[in-house]
Amino acid sequence: MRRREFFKGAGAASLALGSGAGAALVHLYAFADTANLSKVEARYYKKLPDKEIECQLCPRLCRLGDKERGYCGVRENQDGIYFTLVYGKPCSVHVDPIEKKPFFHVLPGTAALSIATAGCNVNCKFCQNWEISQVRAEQVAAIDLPPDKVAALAVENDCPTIAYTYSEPVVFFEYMVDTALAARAKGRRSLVVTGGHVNPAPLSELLQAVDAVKVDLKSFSPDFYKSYVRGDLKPVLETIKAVAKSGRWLEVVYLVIPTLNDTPEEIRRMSRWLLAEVGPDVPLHFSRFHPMYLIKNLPPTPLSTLEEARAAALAEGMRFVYIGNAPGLNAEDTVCPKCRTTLIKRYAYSVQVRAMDKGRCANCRTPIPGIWA
Amino acid sequence: MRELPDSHPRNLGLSPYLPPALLGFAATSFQVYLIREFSVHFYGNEMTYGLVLGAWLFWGGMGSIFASKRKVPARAFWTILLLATSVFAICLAALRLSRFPLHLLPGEITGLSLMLPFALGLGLLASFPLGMLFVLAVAADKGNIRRVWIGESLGAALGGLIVSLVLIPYFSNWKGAALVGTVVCIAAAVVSGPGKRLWGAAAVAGLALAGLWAFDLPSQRLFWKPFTYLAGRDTPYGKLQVVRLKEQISLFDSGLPLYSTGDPASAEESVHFPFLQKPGAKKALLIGGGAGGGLAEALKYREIRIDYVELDPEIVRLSLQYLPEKEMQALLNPRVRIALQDGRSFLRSSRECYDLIILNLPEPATAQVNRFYTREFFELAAAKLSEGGVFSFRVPSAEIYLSPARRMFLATLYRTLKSAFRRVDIVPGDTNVFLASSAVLCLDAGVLAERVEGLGLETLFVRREFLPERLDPLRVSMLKTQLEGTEARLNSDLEPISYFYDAILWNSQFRRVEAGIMARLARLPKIWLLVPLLALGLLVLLIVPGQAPGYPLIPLLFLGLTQIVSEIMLLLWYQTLHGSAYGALAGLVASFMAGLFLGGVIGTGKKDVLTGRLIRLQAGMVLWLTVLYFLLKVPLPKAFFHLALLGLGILGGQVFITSNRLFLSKKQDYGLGYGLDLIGSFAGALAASAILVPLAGLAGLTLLLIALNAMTLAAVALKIKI
Repeated sequence: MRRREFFKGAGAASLALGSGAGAALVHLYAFADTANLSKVEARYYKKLPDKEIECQLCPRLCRLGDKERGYCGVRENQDGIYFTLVYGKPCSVHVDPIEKKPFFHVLPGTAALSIATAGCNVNCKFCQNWEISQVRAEQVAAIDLPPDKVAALAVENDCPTIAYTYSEPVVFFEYMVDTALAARAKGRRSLVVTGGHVNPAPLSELLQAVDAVKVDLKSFSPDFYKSYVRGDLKPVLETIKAVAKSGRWLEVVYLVIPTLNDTPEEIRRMSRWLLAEVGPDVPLHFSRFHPMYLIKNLPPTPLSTLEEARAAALAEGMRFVYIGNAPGLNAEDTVCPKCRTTLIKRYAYSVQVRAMDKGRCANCRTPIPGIWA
Repeated sequence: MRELPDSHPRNLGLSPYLPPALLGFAATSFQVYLIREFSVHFYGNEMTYGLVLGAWLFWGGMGSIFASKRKVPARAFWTILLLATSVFAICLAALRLSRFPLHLLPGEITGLSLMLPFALGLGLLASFPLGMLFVLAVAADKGNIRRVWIGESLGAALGGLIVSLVLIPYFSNWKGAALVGTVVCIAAAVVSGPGKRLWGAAAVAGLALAGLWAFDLPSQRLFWKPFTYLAGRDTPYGKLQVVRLKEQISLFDSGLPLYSTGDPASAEESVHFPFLQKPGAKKALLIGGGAGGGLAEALKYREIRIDYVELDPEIVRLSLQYLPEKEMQALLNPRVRIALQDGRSFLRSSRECYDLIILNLPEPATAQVNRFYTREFFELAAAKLSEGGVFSFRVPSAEIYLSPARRMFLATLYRTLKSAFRRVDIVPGDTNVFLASSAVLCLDAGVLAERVEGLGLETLFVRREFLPERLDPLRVSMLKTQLEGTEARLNSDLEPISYFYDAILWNSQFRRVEAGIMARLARLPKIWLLVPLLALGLLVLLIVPGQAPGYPLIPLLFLGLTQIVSEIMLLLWYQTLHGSAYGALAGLVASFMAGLFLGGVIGTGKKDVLTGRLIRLQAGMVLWLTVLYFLLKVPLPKAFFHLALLGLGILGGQVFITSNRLFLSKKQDYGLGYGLDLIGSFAGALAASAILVPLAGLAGLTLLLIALNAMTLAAVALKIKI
């Protein structure tokens, strides 16, 4: 079954998928406001006296009484047992170009089956997907899509990868890990698009199951994280280091917000840190800010700011630095760091692999880090 | 009866009408400026206007009741007026600089949780003392409430006219407020006579006003830091500000971004998606958005001639001054004809037939903008299109998930557009481009990419590399399926629901309960919305005993509500029929104020005939509303609105005077009637434009007012005993 058939209707999709993810999607749009919650025990929490629990999934360490939800809004203490309410209950399922995540060094030009549930463990004032990230589990129209069905969908739709994205996948940790394992069994890779607020133990388990992680580094300033993200910088940096150390593929995105996190000094400090901790081969994407969510009235990032940021990161020694959301700048191509041959030509989601040969520059044979096959 | 203060004008040989006239002048002017500045710093939608106007009226009413109950001495009139002037200047400054203590960004939007305390706080500081002054003026004039009422009405009318016609076109909000304040100070000093304490208060006020004048520009520069503030204009339609960050110039209108240079995505989308439907188009109409890149994009089509309509001339002037050469040249291109007027009136009066009509305005977040998204406007656009012509607009959306609130908002627009056009298609994405025509539309990425290339268009976003993802047939059909499956009402001139849906969406950003409550209200049948309000009115009428001295004032509670709701309805209705009401606002308000004045003048008579008069006046109000109801669908001339407001004013003025005189014959409490009038107005201001107009529609709301006033008529006829 191709994408068209899958998305188009219940009947064909149901036949193809047994009980039918397609049917579930139709259900989604027919009964959009109906709560559809799971009750699967969470894996990382500590039981405390008086039916209290402490969530140990992310650095927030929410301490919750009976019937209370974590900050993420999708995990609940019920009678002393901590449950995830979104296991197998995504609210967004799409097939996207992998460059949209963005992953530039992972199977360029392919499609990624992208899923998300409600919820997030931070509250960025510039969130692009606030309608699913900043709501509780029952406030979205979720469908039933267990891990094996997600894997089957990826196969059916010719997606070599599954991306856990849009909202914060850490909050649907159990679903993500089980789906990644089911996908691996079917020869599909898993990609995580995260803000990086996760504790070491669950991160370690996650890294066993997935293949690549893109971390949104929102700033290199702890104050920025406090004021505009309601999170902390330190655990994000720890996550970046842990991913790099694990050998899983890592890319980093830095959304450049005018006047908030765009000083050349901050960019240089961040680049130096990346160079020292994870090395020069980690692709670094500077992304252009557009007015969004609570910061609706701030203008977009000036193009020169993006170019200066890229120049600063390159000058510090990062080898693969890209600019996103600004197609006029032509800073999306992958260029061989040694001979400067353009290896992959990109314009938005149009990708031409020009001079890559089995993960090497076809011209000078320099290995180009990434997942290429 | 209280003693006349030494400084009372009558003791100086001056007219007793002067103090209340000065009060009316100051109160109206300050109110206008507070609303204008408030909507710049907080999101300017109907809820904002309702909140700040409601808070103003509420605290005015409370001030009036307070002064009456606490027997504030009448001699304090001038001191309080001067202090109120100083406090008002401080309120404006606090509003502009509030983002620093609140840690808000220049472009950050805030929810009701912050807006409400601000509206209430500012209303308390600015309006409460002014509310007290009405009572003090009556006390000083030996209880002659009629004279004070007349004086205040005249002052208010004058204030409205001077601010709208003289000050706003030529001075910034702060400078205009400073000028009004200075006039008040000088008049107070002259009228009240010498007095050490008063001069002290005048000095404080003078200092505050001088501060407003002097720090207007520096405070705007400070507000925008670290952006470079280049220029600003307070125009009748809003507050335009040009700021720069590096090479990028941005133009803001009342705090909302109109455009930024170097960001052609919006202009490309709004222009090329409709243009590519009809690549051979010869004549296009662009309503708004031309200066921000829309014209430059449209002029890439070599054959096209464009009519560009912009409401606010200053947008064009500032753009010509600050835009880069390429965009500026587009404004001066001979293929472009610029009309500086309301887009809807332009379209109605135009004899042209267009191949393309592109609506490039903000989403329908206010009743003012909503006029461009109604069935009637879409029908007008359809009638002005050539055979197979295309109409389009774009609104913000979400690419990966449509929340119920967003679905409802988009579904209303979709359904309304479908009611006027045979074919409607939508380009999905973070913004949705709605396309409508009588002919078949094309959203095939390959075909459109070929057209882009065939025409040799140089674009960054609307091009082959982006189009397949943007126009993925599955996303296109999924979006339509979702919207077709969502229950939503039709957006019409008389039932403008879209801005209510937009307010739900806006509220849903703040994780608060308001959005949920509003969404539930939107689903209620109209009758369920109106019945509780009627029941509440009935309850008030029944539980207050007819013998109670305050009973004659009950009509005032409903009068305040009736007047403000009727005024709002008439203004909305006017701008629906005749374009933006702003230009005519001063005249319309002046008609109403003139009515109040006339009502006050003729509201005399002996006490024993007052009850009969009140009954006749209430009957007149019911009749006036009934006539209004039956005329709602008639395309009435402008003069009708002036007459209707004049009539409303005359009736209202007479009811006010008659009710108060009936009450004052039993109890010497000058503030209660005025306070109730303002509190009724507060309820109306808060509920009318934000909730009742969009949900009940003008017809439903008029019926509610008829019922409320009929009940009041019955209660007055049956229960008032003199």
